Amino acid sequence: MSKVFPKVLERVVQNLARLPGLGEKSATRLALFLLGQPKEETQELAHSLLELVEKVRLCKRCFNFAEGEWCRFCLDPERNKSQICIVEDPAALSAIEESKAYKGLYHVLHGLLSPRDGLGPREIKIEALLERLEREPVEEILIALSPTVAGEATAAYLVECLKPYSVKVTRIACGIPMGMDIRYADQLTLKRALEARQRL
Amino acid sequence: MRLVTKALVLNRFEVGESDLLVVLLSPKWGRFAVMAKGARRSKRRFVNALEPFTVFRAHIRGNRPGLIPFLDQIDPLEYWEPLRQDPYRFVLASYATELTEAFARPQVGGNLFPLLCGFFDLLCQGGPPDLLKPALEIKLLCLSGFAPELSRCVRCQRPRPLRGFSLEEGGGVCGYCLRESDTSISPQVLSLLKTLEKYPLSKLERICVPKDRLKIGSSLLENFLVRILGHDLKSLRIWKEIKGGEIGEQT
Ligand SMILES: [Zn+2]
Ligand SMILES: [Zn+2]
Repeated sequence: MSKVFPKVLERVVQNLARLPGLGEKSATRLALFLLGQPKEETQELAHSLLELVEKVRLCKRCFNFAEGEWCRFCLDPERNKSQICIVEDPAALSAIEESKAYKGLYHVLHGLLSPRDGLGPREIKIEALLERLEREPVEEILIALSPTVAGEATAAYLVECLKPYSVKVTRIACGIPMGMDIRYADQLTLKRALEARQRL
Repeated sequence: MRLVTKALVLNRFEVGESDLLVVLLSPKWGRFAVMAKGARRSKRRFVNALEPFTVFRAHIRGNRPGLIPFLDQIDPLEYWEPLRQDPYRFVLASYATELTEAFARPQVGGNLFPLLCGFFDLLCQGGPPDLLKPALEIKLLCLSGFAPELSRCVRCQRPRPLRGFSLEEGGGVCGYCLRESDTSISPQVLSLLKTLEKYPLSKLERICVPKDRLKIGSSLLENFLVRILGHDLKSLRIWKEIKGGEIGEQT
């Protein structure tokens, strides 16, 4: 730790350096930038951070970020309440929302099965999903998890948990990205793309 | 300098904004770490093969002492696809990977590569998890120099019938030397452990063991492993949870 800066500045550097992807060097650069810009702008950042931790919580129903008890999708009367799309985290939810191709509700797991990190079925929001199925008029569960090893294993586990329920379970397709030449696709992706082929 | 070797991923750590530090296991060099530059930004170069349960040919650059070499390119060779499609096998395979990483010391442990690959093969072919798991554990112990002494007493060194097992001393204890702190062990459990040590993984299907005996032998091995490693294994807890069927059902 450098002894050159005042303690207050050093504290900011240390706090910034704990953020993912930031080392002490970048943290120092950011702290000096914050100190150098107009006071109001840095105050605005500080206030927004305070509001973030005070106001943002998880939606009671779907565990998306919310400012009140419910998130904006759960409050929206236009959303199709018979569909639930399962996503890994709010960032994945936001990506799906941006596609504008889905109009149902969500359920955010907040993680994938990851035994090495100590994440099992209890640590992600699977039980809460099954409880929702008891109360809500759900007809379709759409699993939208990434086709990584952990994503696929989690999807397989969900499929098994959902077997006793009379809901249609679907999964987003997996295949060749738009604009990609299939000659460059790897064998696993090609295999999945062939398996998920569509009738035209 | 450029090197090429067959390898699989034991672990991955995010570094900075876009890099991955990848711990590999190869038949040539055992456990070693490489830096995959930009692996999190551009998926194309490493496609999906920098994930667990895939064997690939790794092209490695730079081997200056003290510096982590770079992973330049990988060519996927083999996927154990069923391990991603069955949550129970996925969790057990994750445990096997965590355990192998813990026992494979840097630059050695090339012989653990065929063991782990064989374990994955058998899991995919529907081999019995309850037998494969303790067999893998005891074989890992033996290959890493921690083979439990099962033929003579670890205290008096005499080949007397063994009545207990000492986790501290790593082996069986005879009736004369038995202490309260030892785990008592029946001749049947003892012979089960010897069988698991001796038989190749692929022959395990042929042996028939009562469930309770298997349970006792397994938990003895688990305790011994944790004792040697000096820390818990996260994936072991998840395996016990998911296998117990506390949530969902067991296949
Ligand atoms: Zn909600
Ligand atoms: Zn003795």
